[in-house]
Amino acid sequence: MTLSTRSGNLSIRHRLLATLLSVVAFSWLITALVVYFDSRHEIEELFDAHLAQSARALLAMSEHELAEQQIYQSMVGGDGFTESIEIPYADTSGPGHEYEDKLAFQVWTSDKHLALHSGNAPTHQPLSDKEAGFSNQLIDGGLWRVFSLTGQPSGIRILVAQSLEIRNELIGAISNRLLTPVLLSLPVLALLIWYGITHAMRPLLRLAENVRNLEPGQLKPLPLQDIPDESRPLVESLNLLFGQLQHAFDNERRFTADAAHELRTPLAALKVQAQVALAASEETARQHALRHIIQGVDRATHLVEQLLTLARLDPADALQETAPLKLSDICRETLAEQANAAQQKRIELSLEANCNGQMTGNEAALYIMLRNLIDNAIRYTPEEGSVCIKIDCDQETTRLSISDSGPGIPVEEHSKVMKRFYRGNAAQAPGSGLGMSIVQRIIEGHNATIGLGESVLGGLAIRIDFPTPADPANLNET
Amino acid sequence: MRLLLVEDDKLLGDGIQAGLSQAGYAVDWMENGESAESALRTEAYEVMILDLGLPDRSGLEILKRLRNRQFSAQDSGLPVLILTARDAVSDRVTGLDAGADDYMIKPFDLDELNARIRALTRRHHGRANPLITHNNLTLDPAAHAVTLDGQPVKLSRREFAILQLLLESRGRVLSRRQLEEGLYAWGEEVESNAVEVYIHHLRKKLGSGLIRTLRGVGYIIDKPA
Repeated sequence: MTLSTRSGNLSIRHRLLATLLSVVAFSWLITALVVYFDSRHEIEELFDAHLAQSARALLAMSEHELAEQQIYQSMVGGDGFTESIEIPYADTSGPGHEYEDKLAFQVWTSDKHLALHSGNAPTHQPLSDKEAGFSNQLIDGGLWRVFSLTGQPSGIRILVAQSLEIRNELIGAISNRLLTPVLLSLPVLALLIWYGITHAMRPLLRLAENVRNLEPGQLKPLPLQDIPDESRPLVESLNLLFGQLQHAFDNERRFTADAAHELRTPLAALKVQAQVALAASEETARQHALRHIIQGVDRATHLVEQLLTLARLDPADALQETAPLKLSDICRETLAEQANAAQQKRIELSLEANCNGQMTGNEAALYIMLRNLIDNAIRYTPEEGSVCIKIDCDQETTRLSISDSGPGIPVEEHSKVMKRFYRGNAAQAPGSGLGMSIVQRIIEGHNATIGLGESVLGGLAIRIDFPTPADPANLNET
Repeated sequence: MRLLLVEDDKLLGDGIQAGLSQAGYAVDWMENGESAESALRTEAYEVMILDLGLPDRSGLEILKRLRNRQFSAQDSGLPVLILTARDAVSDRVTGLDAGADDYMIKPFDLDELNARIRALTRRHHGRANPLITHNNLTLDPAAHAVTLDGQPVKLSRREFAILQLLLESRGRVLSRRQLEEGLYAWGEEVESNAVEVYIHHLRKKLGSGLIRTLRGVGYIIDKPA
């Protein structure tokens, strides 16, 4: 957040402001242009019509005048319109308008005699050469719009002209009036947009503040109220991530604490036994204590090994390296390794592989898992008992079962078994209490599930269901 | 003196039992909460050493029940020393507030455990002085030494234990059974007439006027006049 506001080009606020302002300015500009051309056209039409109408009125009046003169001539004799009559535009004594000098007219008789004209009109030539209709003419350095009309049959030619300046002035005034408010209101609009965006961004800033205030290791979910719909998915994803992180943190913390505590007891035992050995006055008592010290060291070593295994399996990517493998091969290998321990207790180990358990997995991890499970089974099974490993496959699951004839685990304890450092109540066998945690980690890494139950042999049955790969035949070839 | 040790770890429990026996205590070692509670119901102890992380229940539960007088055979004020792997201050506060008298974090020193047990019994009997003095007789529980008129007297482990028991409860009669219980832990073979033999030895070494026999009742060391 801080980063984006600082480097302006990334700021949502700046982007929105720029986009909104340019869109508004552009649309206003288009509107102004359309209005400009439209009004220019309308003004031209209006003025042209006005010119034409003036010409017609002038023609009508001139023809009337000519007719009267002709009647008079016929009675008196002589020529009509012998002199040209000038209407001086400079005579501003009466009521008038400043625009008057922008208008001019000429009345020509059929014999090319200028009968009547405005003061600003030339006297020696017509305003336009065009016999009829509109034309633009350059007169005295200015552009004029001229309309000419010739009366029939009188032959009187009327020329009415209007300086184009008027039109341009008018159009300019309209355009000014149109654009000025736009230009004036743009900064105001920018301020309003800025305020609006800032207001709309406030939840985001608050969200950023909330995220900033989070302590690593204490990641509480962010509140979802007052969060705009658009950023809700972001917050939800963040909360999900925080949840996972918190879980990992907690796990880590608990693990370290548990591990430290679990090491305290073996260490305490070692120290006490050593002090007993040191103070023992009888040789048998000393021997007894010393043997216990050796046992204690073995136990602590086992605990440390298991802790290290678990720590190595803990990162999420520890089980990423997978390869096609056969579960039955790993079982055989593990059983061979444990055969000695089983023989010492005269426990019968057996493998019943109804299929070879083709799958993709991490071989080293699965090996550790099986070693822990079989080791547990042998540990808790009394002498002359039996431990049986079974592999069954169907289309969906590959099931690995480990059954023993030991004391089993009461149903109410089942949920505790997977907890770190859990050791069964009746457990008389030494153990780190980490084996099942290790198994659990490996099972999770292989998308498998574990279930506990009673075995046909009378003891505990552990079932692990792996998803059967879609096409085991493919694995065969690779 | 008879102690109750509640500890589920075999190696540690064995070590503490051996170590405390070397110091002359009779130690009953229980490996879970259930058997610890039944021991508390049937036997009277001088001190209980309690591990908090038991497989079947929390040690604190047992402690709370003890303080709530739920074990008839037991003085509800029995000194309790907690042994635990949990070292957080909050854990210690919880333990002490639940009624523990002392707290030791694993791993610990056996000598320190012994010293703390002595301190607990001393406090329990209302003594501040670590030495027990009776007329011209002085008993040092820490050094396991007894002097008479300033002269050291050599006593066996059990003779010392009986003397200490009688001195700790001066003015109170202790039956032969009570003395035996203070000498032998569960499972230890009680030699017949052992108490009489030890009393006889003590009288020979310390003079016959010290310990009085109340026939059919027990033995007593009278409070000094």
